[in-house]
Amino acid sequence: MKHVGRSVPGRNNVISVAGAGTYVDDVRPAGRMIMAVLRSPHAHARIVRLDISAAAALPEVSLVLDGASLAADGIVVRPGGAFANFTVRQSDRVPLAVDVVRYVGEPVVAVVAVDLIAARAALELVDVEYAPLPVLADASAALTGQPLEQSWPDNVMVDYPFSKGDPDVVLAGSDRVRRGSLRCGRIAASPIEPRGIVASWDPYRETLTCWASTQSPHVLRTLLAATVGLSDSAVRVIQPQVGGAFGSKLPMFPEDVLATVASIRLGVPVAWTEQRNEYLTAAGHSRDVGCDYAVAFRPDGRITALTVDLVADLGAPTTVAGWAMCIVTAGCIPGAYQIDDVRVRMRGVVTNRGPWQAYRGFGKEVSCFVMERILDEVARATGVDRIEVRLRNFIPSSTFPYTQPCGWITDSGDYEGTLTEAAKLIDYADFERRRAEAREQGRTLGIGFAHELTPEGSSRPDSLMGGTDSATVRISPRGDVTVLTGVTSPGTGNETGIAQVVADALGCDLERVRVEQGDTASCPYGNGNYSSRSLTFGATSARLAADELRERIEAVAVSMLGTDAGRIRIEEGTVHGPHDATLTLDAVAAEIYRNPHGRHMTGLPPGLEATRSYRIPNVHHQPDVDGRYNQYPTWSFASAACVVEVDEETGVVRVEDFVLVHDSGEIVNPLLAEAQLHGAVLQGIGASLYEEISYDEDARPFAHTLREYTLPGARESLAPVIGHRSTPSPFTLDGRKGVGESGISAPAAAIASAIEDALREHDVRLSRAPFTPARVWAALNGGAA
Amino acid sequence: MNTVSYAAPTTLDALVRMLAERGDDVTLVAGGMSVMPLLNRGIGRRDRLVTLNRVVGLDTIEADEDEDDLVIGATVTHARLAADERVHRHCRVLADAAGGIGDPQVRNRGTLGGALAYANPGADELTALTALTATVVLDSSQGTRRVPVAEFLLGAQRTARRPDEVVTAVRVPRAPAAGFARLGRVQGAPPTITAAAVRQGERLRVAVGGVASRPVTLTCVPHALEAEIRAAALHAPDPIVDDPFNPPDYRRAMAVVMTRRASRLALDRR
Ligand SMILES: Cc1cc2nc3c(=O)[nH]c(=O)nc-3n(C[C@H](O)[C@H](O)[C@H](O)COP(=O)(O)OP(=O)(O)OC[C@H]3O[C@@H](n4cnc5c(N)ncnc54)[C@H](O)[C@@H]3O)c2cc1C
Repeated sequence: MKHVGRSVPGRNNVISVAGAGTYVDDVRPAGRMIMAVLRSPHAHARIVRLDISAAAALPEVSLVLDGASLAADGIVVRPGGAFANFTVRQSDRVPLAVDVVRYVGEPVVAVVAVDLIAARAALELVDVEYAPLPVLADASAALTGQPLEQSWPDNVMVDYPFSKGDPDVVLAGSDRVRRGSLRCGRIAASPIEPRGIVASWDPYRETLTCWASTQSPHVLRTLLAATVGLSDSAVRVIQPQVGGAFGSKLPMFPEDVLATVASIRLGVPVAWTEQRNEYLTAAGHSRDVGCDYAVAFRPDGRITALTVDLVADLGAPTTVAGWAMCIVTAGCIPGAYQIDDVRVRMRGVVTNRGPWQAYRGFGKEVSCFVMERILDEVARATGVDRIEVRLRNFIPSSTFPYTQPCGWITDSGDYEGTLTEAAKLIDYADFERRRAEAREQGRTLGIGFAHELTPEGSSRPDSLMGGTDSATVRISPRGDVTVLTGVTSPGTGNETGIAQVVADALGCDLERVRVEQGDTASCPYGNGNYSSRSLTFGATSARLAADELRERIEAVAVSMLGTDAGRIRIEEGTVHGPHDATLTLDAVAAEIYRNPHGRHMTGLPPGLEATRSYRIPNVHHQPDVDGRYNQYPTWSFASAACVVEVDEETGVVRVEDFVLVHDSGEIVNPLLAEAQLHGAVLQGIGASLYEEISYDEDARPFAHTLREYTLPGARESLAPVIGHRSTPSPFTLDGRKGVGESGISAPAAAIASAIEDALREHDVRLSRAPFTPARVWAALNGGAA
Repeated sequence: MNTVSYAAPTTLDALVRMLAERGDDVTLVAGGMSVMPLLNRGIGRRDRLVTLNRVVGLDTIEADEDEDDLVIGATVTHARLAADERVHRHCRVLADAAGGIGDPQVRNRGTLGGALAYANPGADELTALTALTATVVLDSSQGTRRVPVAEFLLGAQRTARRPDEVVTAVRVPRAPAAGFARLGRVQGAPPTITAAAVRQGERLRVAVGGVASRPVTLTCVPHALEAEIRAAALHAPDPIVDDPFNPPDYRRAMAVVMTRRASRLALDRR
């Protein structure tokens, strides 16, 4: 029986539900002290005076760090890499503010004390005087204002233009042109467990052990070691159970460095556990992108030219790589649509808002929102059905691999397949009857559609996330299998999928395979968990290692059974030879270990352990003649359809039905894939209707708790209907593409489409996500939405 | 270094004595649903916490036959209010208001007295109690006084309670025909607009929360309602409540919508 393709329940389920997981805050080594961080209350100010003496004098306090002392010690973080192929302005940063604070929530002072109460009391004794500076409250202020960074000529951190054909000529010559502006609101990933680290310096062995709520232990190890001047091999990073990450725990944060420096200074473990109000202001945001577009089209809805001018508010410059999301947003336009004349420009600007940090979708959700809103606009202008207009513009299935205007290469696709199935599953054909019935009950329903493209397996040139991962498969003398992987799990259950792949490769029982992750001391090098890479990279490298062992096992088994190669098969832990002869895998393993010099081992390497690394083809890091490269080997996609009810008096929108048909190539575990998609759709709905990080005109944030940052709760949840389709990637070993980000992009555009459809008599336009009741109401009452 | 003292008096006498001595320094804790998250964030005084949960006699629901009032103790939880049969019969609109608060955990711990003392604009029960013309009962070492809800609520998180006083009960007049409507963002977020309407013969008494810093009230005949509510919401003397999700013009418009819905319910319950 094959294990791949079966809906095996996640191995992490029971421990999570039992509340028995060990999260970073549960890691309490003896002598642990607590770090707390004083943060800037100002969006932009000069630090006139900073006096830490009263805090440092408290008997419960062991250490107080400020920016000046760190700078004097040379503790400076160099920006994360991945700048190859772009012109990006970056600055080195001390992990605590030096002279100037640049956003509300920026770390200013760190205190280490015996417990949290003492640490907080010490923070209250820190005496800081600020002189407010002019604030760049948003992107438009940044484009005209004084440079935030002294060494930069302006506030543009990255300017990424590309084009194909000549859209201006086509637009000028077309009598069907629509222009518009669109905006995606700023959001925060908001895992249930915020960030945290325990750093423990052993002064005798001169080694550092860190338990961190991170996605990438190996990457964190290298970054931390480089920052504090240790060798990589003196640092061990352990990832305990993680309570959600979604990209927002990609290393390395200032607080990681602070806890580490403190532990080295004090020679005791130092723990920092983030509070929700810190998370919401300082852990990083995403989206906050606006654009102006112009689109030309024929009467049949075929798009002939498109220009999109995007500006992203990246917040204050930091050393984490969240800014790279704006590159992906631009690169994924026009995405699933074949348009011959295109020009796209993305300008990412720095402001005094909170910095960006990676979040599921990683910029693709903004491209999806932009493209799908434009497709709806073309449908409206031409009177062509919204499904039909998409079908007429999709990249045809026969043209893959397809080179996007930005140069990225889309491996494969069948967009018509998912969209037509989504329309079927939501029963589009019967919707007018449903609408009329609801009307009679005084309810206003609308139906909407969107198509999303989710390039995965990000392999960024010149970075510690270059796109490779490793796995070790180790079979013990009794036939028990341990898989050690460089990919980690933020709670998704990918260890279950990896075990399924390895069990199939070895022909053993699934229960015999144990997967170990998240410890740099035991696991081989890997980039960790992001860009849906756990199974494409993690399981594939494990399979390669397992294949190697399988070959050795087969050779020994053939010899033990006295038969010829090709005359055995291995199933569920048993080797079957000719004439009903059988042998257990355990017996073969025992033979390999017990008789390394025996006759069955002649010519074979001893032991049963293999480590293999894997990178996916279809990645091009050396730029072509036009300077183009490709960082995304596989491209998952999905189509969404939804029905919403709109309360016309209040503007309140409720999603009644949501269908997502995804195509992520070969699926290892449909149950876990669906679990991913359920969560992604709900996060997508959250960003469409409920969530927004708002700042006022002085760049002061509104949300400090989850009462203001209104995540959807149980009452707002719904179970989406999921459809699976499979267009295997021609480039990956098993045709897999990655599921982890699918489903988060389409909701905003699908819901906007459905709201407009519900209110079609009012000719309402929704151009700004989230579609809060106040915005929908304003749109209905003639205001801007 | 700050230390935290914690007291759990069992009698009202002991409690009011503590308040008489140190009222200014004491932070009372009832369900803790509003005050604990603030203390955790370092907001408010935390050196002297006094819990009401052990004080005998604060969690009763009793009828006062003479005045035809229902007397509800301060530490009665939202969940009990929502489920209690006497509350349903006597003043159902209060049960409706309590049943929509937050989530089950908050309703199981949060109290009527805590909601009153915290005086958050728009809080469900405050709107209902205002429309019901309920009376707040306050105790101190000086004795007991009664203050009408409309006079008790002074503004956002401001009440007529003196530091040496504790809210011990609320007296609610009978009101069988009444309706309640609320508009909120997500479960757990503060309500945007709450409206309660109570029928009095041919007239309606209406309270709207969430438009101004305390409930806006008016009494009128049903057909005049919308215009009057619009005017009242526009001219509310208190500062308008405002947040990025719900700007003032939207709140005002929703005050009208929610009033209409609450009134319709009240008129249906003849
Ligand atoms: C997640 C969440 C969702 C919520 N949703 C809603 C909602 O939808 N609608 C709504 O109206 N409210 C909501 N609330 C607030 C909730 O109703 C609180 O329970 C209530 O406001 C406070 O009651 P408490 O007993 O918990 O008071 P506490 O938090 O214990 O105290 C609140 C304040 O009142 C003081 N106090 C308490 N009792 C007395 C007393 N008897 N005399 C004098 N002072 C006193 C305290 O000192 C403190 O200052 C929500 C709260 C949370 C945490």
